[in-house]
Amino acid sequence: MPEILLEARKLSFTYPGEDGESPPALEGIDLKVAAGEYVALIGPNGSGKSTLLKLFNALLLPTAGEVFFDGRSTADARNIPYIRACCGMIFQNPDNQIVGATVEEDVAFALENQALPPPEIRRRVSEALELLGISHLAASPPHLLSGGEKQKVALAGVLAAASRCLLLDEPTAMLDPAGQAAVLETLQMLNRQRGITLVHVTHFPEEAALAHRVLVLHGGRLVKEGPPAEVLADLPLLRALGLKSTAAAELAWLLREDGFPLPRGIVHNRELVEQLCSYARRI
Amino acid sequence: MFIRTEDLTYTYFPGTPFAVEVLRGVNLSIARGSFTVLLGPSGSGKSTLLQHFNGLLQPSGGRVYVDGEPLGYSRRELLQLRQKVGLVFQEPESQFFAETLFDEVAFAPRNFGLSPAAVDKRVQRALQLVGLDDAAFLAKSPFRLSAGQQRLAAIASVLAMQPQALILDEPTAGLDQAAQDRLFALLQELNREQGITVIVVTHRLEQVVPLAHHFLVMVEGRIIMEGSAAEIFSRPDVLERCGLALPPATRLMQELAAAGLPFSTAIFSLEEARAEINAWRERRAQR
Ligand SMILES: Nc1ncnc2c1ncn2[C@@H]1O[C@H](COP(=O)(O)OP(=O)(O)OP(=O)(O)O)[C@@H](O)[C@H]1O
Ligand SMILES: Nc1ncnc2c1ncn2[C@@H]1O[C@H](COP(=O)(O)OP(=O)(O)O)[C@@H](O)[C@H]1O
Ligand SMILES: [Mg+2]
Ligand SMILES: [Mg+2]
Repeated sequence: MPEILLEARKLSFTYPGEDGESPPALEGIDLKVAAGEYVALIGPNGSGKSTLLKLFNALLLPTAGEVFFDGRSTADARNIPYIRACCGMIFQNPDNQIVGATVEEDVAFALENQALPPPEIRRRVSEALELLGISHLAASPPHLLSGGEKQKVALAGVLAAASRCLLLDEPTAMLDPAGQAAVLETLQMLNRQRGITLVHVTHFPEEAALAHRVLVLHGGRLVKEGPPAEVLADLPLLRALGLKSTAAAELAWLLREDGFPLPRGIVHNRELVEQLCSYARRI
Repeated sequence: MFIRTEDLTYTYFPGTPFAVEVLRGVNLSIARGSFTVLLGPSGSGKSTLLQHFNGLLQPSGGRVYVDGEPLGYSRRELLQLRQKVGLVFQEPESQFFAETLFDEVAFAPRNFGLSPAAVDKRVQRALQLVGLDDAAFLAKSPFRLSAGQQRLAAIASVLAMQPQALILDEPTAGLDQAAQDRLFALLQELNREQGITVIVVTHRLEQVVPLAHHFLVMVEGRIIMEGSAAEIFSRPDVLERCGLALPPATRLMQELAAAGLPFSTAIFSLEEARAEINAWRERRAQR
């Protein structure tokens, strides 16, 4: 049984002042995320993705049900410093999360509340910068960096704070393709080499395909979960929700409709390449 | 020409140690009724350029012309300009100021002196066009919408101005697929049926290739290339230099071709890829 890091039990949430006006932002969510897991969270605009992330690190508290981080309920205020220290959050807009005058300062800021001795702070900051490949930017003012670099600075802050879990709210939405690729590569490295648990909200199907498990929210409810090969190959469901799958999954679906003998569960380009090559050998 | 620049330069924080020259002599022309896509890596100056088109930024050097006239920057001139040229910001929340979604979208029509009934109609219409017409949203603060809903609200408030030119700075960021499809269908309709001039910044080529007449590529504050989709795509070296990703269908066909399958890589959409693969399958079946 893997260690469970995040858990929601019968979780519902209504924004204060919204009751009666609109349906709850989240309703009846039961969910477990294992330590070291990489989970993608997808769903239409307004389906409750960002709300769920904010409940996970106790920025919001449940209206009903409970949320646990490492077995500790967010409803108990004494747990909140621990949860916030372990669970870092990265937002869409890299500009809104920068506080320091230099990259180094900005990363160190993430450690401010941990009362560490200065040499330990310096060690952690330089280690985080090195791991993300941005040591050369240590003395630069963050506002002069590209969007992808800014997101790496934000990630370095979370890493220096030794977070075990990262909550990522569309971290690449404001980046160009180069910045997007750099951030995705970093996320995979953090998950694989550091065992950091990732919950990654995205509108890009290619990003969801990188996760171990994909969760689909719709109207505040969890409507499907499973490995990418299952969820991202379920085109009827995705289409019904106004979502899209990866290019490989979409094309495989179209070709199957045309009578091409292809198996289900194709999500990545390499899988479609393999299938077509094997078809070419057979026929 | 609807929008034209002449040797446009712009420096943030001029005369200070922080001065950065972001636009370095931009000369461009955008025809009335055209659909233009502005490409370029992050930091190349795209957003800075767009903010010159509706007078939010004033050139450090050179000139901007809209509708044949050099821009003036008095309050009155700017008001007139902004009725003609609507800009949707890259960061939608930075343009909100009203207490409710209704008031936000109603701001421009009210300013134009429309009757309350006419304002109401414009607001409903604009929200309907972007798919944000759930009545529960009207009284809600725009700051209390989800990220994607905020972007749709920002687009609706510019649509409600009924401008002659619509400029959108990375409008699909944070939108779900259905909202993106709806937005591009709307832009195409406004452009083709109503002759609205459209200018879009985006990194996602696949969505704009079928719609756009004209592509501009900006690198380090200069337009380094312009032309039709075919002209731009024939230069993958340039695309790569400015960090642009090829459409997913193109990348997929490239991987198939690299694995030795006899496919063209000059393919930009899934439908084209589908046709290419089916034709190949038929040729093999006939052998
Ligand atoms: N601060 C708030 N106050 C009131 N309602 C809110 C607030 N933030 C979000 N909502 C509402 O809660 C619902 C869920 O919002 P949430 O931001 O979690 O959606 P999301 O899945 O992240 O959407 P997007 O893809 O657009 O970011 C939406 O209907 C939204 O309008
Ligand atoms: N308000 C501002 N103040 C200072 N510098 C800015 C401001 N806005 C943008 N810049 C700088 O100008 C350059 C171009 O930015 P921008 O126009 O936003 O590019 P793009 O939209 O192509 O990503 C970047 O180096 C950026 O840091
Ligand atoms: Mg969100
Ligand atoms: Mg920009």
